[in-house]
Amino acid sequence: MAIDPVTLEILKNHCRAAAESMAFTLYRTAHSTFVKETEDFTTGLTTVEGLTFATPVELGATWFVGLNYANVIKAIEHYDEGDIAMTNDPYSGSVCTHSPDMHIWKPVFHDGEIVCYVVGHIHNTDVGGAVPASISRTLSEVHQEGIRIPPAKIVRRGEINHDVLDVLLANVRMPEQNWGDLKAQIAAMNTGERRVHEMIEKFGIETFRTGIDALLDYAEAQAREIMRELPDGRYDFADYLDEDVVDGYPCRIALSLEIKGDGCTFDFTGSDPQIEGSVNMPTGGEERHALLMVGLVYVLYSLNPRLFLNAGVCRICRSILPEGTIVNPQFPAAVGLRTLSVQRLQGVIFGAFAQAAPDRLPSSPASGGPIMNVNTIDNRTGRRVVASIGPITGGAGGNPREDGTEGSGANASFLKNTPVEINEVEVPIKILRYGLTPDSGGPGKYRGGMATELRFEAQAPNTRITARNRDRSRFTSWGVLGGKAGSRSYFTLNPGSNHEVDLGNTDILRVGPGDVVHIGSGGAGGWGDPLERDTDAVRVDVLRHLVSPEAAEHDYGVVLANGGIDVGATAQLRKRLGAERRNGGGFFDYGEQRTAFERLWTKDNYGALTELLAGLPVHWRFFVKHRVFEAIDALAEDERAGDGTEVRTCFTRVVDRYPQLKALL
Amino acid sequence: MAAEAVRVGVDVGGTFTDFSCVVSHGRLFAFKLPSTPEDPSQAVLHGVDMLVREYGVTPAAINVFAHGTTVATNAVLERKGARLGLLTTAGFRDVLEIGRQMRRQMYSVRLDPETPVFLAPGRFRKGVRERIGPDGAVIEPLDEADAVAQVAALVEDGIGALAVCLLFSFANPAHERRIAALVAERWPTLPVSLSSMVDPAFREYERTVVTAFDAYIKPAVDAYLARLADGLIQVGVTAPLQIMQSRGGLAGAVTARQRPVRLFLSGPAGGVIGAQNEGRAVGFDDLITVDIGGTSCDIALVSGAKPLIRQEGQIDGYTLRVPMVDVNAIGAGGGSIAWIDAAGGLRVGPHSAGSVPGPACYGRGGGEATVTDASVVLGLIDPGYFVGGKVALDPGRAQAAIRDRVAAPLSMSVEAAAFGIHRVLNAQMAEGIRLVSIKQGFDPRDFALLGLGGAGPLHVCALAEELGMTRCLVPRHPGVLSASGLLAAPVEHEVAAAFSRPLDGLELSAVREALTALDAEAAALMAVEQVDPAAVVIGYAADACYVGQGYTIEVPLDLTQPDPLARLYQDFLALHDRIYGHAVDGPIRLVNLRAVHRAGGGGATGKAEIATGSPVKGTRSVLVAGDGTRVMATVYDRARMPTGLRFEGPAIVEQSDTTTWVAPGWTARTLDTGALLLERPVLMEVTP
Repeated sequence: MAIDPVTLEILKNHCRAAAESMAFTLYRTAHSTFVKETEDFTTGLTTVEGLTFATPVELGATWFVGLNYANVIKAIEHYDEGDIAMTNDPYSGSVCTHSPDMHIWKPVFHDGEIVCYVVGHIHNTDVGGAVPASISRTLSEVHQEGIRIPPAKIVRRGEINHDVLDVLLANVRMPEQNWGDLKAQIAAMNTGERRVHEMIEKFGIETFRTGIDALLDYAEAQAREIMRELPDGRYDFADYLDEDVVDGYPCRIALSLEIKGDGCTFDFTGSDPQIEGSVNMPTGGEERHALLMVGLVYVLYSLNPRLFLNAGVCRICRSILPEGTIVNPQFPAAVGLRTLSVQRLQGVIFGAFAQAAPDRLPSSPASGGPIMNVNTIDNRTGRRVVASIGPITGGAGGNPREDGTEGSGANASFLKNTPVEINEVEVPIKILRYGLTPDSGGPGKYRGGMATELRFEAQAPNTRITARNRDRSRFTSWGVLGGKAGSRSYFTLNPGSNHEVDLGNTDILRVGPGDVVHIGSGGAGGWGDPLERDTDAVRVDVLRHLVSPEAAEHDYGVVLANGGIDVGATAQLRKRLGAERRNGGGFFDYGEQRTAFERLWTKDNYGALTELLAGLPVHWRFFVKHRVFEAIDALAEDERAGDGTEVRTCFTRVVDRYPQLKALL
Repeated sequence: MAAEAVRVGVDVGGTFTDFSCVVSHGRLFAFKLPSTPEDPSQAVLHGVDMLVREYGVTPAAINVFAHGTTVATNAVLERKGARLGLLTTAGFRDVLEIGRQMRRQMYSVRLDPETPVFLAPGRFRKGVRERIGPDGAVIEPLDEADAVAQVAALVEDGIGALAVCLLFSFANPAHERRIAALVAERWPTLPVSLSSMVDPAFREYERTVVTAFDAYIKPAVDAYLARLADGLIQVGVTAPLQIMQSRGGLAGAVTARQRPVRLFLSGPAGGVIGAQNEGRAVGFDDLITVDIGGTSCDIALVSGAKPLIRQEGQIDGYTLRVPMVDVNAIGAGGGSIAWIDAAGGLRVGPHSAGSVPGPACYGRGGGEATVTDASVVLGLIDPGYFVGGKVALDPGRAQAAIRDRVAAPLSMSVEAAAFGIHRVLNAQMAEGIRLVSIKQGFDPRDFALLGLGGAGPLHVCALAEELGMTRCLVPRHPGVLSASGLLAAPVEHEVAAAFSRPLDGLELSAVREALTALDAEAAALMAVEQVDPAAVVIGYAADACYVGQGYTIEVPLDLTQPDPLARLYQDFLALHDRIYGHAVDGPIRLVNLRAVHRAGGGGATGKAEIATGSPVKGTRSVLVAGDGTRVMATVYDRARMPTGLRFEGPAIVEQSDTTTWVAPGWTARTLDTGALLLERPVLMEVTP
């Protein structure tokens, strides 16, 4: 039975409204600060097969549009009406992507038959494991990242299954929060179920069944239409995490995007081997895994904001995911910090598409700002407090029409921040500053948005700070078409004192009463040549304390005097700077550190490394990568050609050094 | 007529200034004048002049003069507020700019700022050294010299108003108040808004925004209301000027000028009160109003004869934590454009053809197919009697636009396409109504639907059917309901303060003590209003939530109950269950306390005269299904319909400012008040 466009449009509105009322119920009922202030949750509706056909567009996390619940749904043999199942195991069915995410699904019955599922997830602040909040880059096995519940029924025929619940709550640090949030999830499922029943009553079961499949086709057709507007071709892009593990080497995520007609392919060959840390992305090798599609969904939606978002959108793409790499790790690789790598991967997809549509897409949003967790004792009550004090986000990339937004719009910033007044009530710290970092946005004709920074003072001994997802302390957000890279992120203990410590790329810290912690995200990249920026816009930026007078001169060539623009001096300076810069600059500006790094680690060198590591057993690859990096670092200048030969030489030396490895080849 | 007291309600809108005047014997004059946007008081005074010259009203006989104004909203929309300085606690001056990371388009990589930075860009924001802790204790005393220096710098920079928002000032306002005193000594004419007075509640960004908007619009609102009050005195009106506040209560102009941030929904609040009154007069206490204009559709709820108030509203897209009548706009109206998207779906809106070029049938060069064009094709609108015949419509252009833009691309007949446009639009609006009511935990089927605006009465039957509702009401003057609502509104003052204590172990005496302080503030405000103190009704409420939860519910607090706090707890559970579908027996916290003092309101709104002659104008063929099915509808003239007239659908009721479609299966009846009641039998729900 075909469905007419009028009925489809009406059904579409109903489905989105159903997903939105689920989100609304969950949001308003949840207990933990993390959910209620940062909105790290989803709700949705899936087909009987498990494909998401409707999600909210105004509430919640944005990473799970294409989520496929098929494997976890199938993991449970039989459903009765009133059952609700859940899992937070990243290695059971590739739905959950790190252990704090509790995914939950409820079959909706009509005349005794399942007609669809209502689904959703909440990021729990803590699910137990080696560290508070369950996530740390120091962990290397998923077992350390908290309790894992494989797909199991948490509600049976409307009754809570205490066998599962009690095990979960016994293993987490703040059981009342997990339980409060779980209750909110259950309430959201029941809201969704009710809305589906109403739709079936209104449209009839046959129209509903046909309609939800048609909605997937509809979204796919819209997405294909957008792709057809982009020029065919191959667009390569790579970016790095500062470190693969603590004090490690850069972690590379590489993409070769091929646009062909109304579809595209993502080839991730060239991305790093799976990491003995927690930034792995558990895709299960599924070529349309939701985590891989995040960037695609953003790009398509930005190109056409009328796109209806569901798993149909992802049908236009398939991915090549070499096994044993960061994009397709093997059990039991830790995955807790996949947020960080997915953000970077999302940016890599932006970078690839930016080359296909430079006049329609922005430069890189800010990133590297962490989600801050504090574990301390409240002096007033003597009780331990473990709480998230919110994300430090940073601004949006400059775009072909305007500057990036300040302090908001970074990759991860579907996350809302937490008010200072809520933090200080719930967490015994004193916040000293929350604001924008001047001169942090990448200069450009349209400037990158400014970074955000937070400064606070600990009040009790043995206060442990986790700055989860910290990055970009080395490699910065990129600019395009002459626009410059954004500033680096930073993490400093006791700034401005005689015991100031630059914490580099670390993400955990133990402090005592009176210690001051200062942390900032990176800035976003700029779009277009900063020397073409409207001089008055530069003057206003200076007045707004966003750009210093010094930066106005050396980045933008604008000379200010007596609150106004010195027109003559500006024209001269711009002419001189223009001449000096003429020879620099390709499509991207990557910032100094990456440019320097890539003089050593050229594309050819990485090509050789990728090829060589792929020939090794998975458990050797990360180890050998590190040994090769050490060897390359030790080379003399004249031993470097940048054409891959030095990598091959170093690799051979490493293999020679380890007979255990040699025996395997 | 000189002896007869006259009550006057004046609502200023963007295009028209509406007057509703009731003489004490119950006669109603309602009329519209073109607005005078440069100085809106001109149209108001012009209307008073008309009352004198054409209706024989003596200015001195006017004993109520209630006013709904858009001056606060326009100051924001046109960016004509003060150059504003903002003082914050040192280290937090960027809070206004960073905001909460909310965004309208979560999936877009290109974003518009979501925070009202325009109120006070970086240059106009300064930090002051001071610190108050979460419990209200002074952690670092106010550095007075620093504060004075910062304000001096701002004044030097040319600010015309100052907003002050310090951390935790709601727990201890001493520092903010001291700053106000220091400023008053040195710059006595500089308007100042303190966050501890404007919005004493948690969350510094939200509080900053409210305080900044308050200060931003203060000079503009102040100047306008002063000018209007002077003008009224000059023409001999001695009644105190009363202004409608966003909550739906009137306040004397003197008070309204001090807290202008409460005036953003002044006009729509009048509409909701008007609706409430309209419903009440015919015994309907539960109403959903749908006001459909050219570009948008406003939805509001009245429950238990009270307008629904929400604690957070919107102005120009910015979220603002000020109590407002819960009016929700969706981008769908008569001018909404129908189009085919890339995937072959039929869409309606949010783009609108507006009034220029307008729908294709206007013949002003518009080629897009709009909802109004569909209405013409369907036969719902008489092309020769649109806006009482003032705008001649071209049905040929309507046909052509729908054929070219919708029917041909979808391989449908023009009739099916026109019908489809209405179906899609009605479904969108119904979904909007459903979300608004379900978010509040209401079932729309328990409500009557009130159709307002030029296009509301055309769609009420379809919307009601879509939502399972069985009763619709169309007021006699659906276009001037805001003005008549002004005459039905009480004088009201609301004062709230952060309380933040768990209910467990809470002594009633502590609550009483806090409420006494709020009462004193509210009573002081009422004292200025010249109302009989004996007529003042006091109500209390608490914003409560489960301990650990982030969002509160307003729960009535009735001190006359034997155990008010136990009752409050029970009411909280019941409300939580209504809104969220569940409630558990767990500890709760009272976040804010609120006192509302109210006097008067609910007066009769008067009645227009009925013209003589036959109410039946003729008949017209109307399309009622996509397959081309037509019915013959009787066409009525609203001005000539006597009280008690009863007829069956299909019927069309025409009047100069709207058209009502009475669909087949519906019965219509004119009520004593002049309103038209549409009803259909309660159908058994049939599940296929």
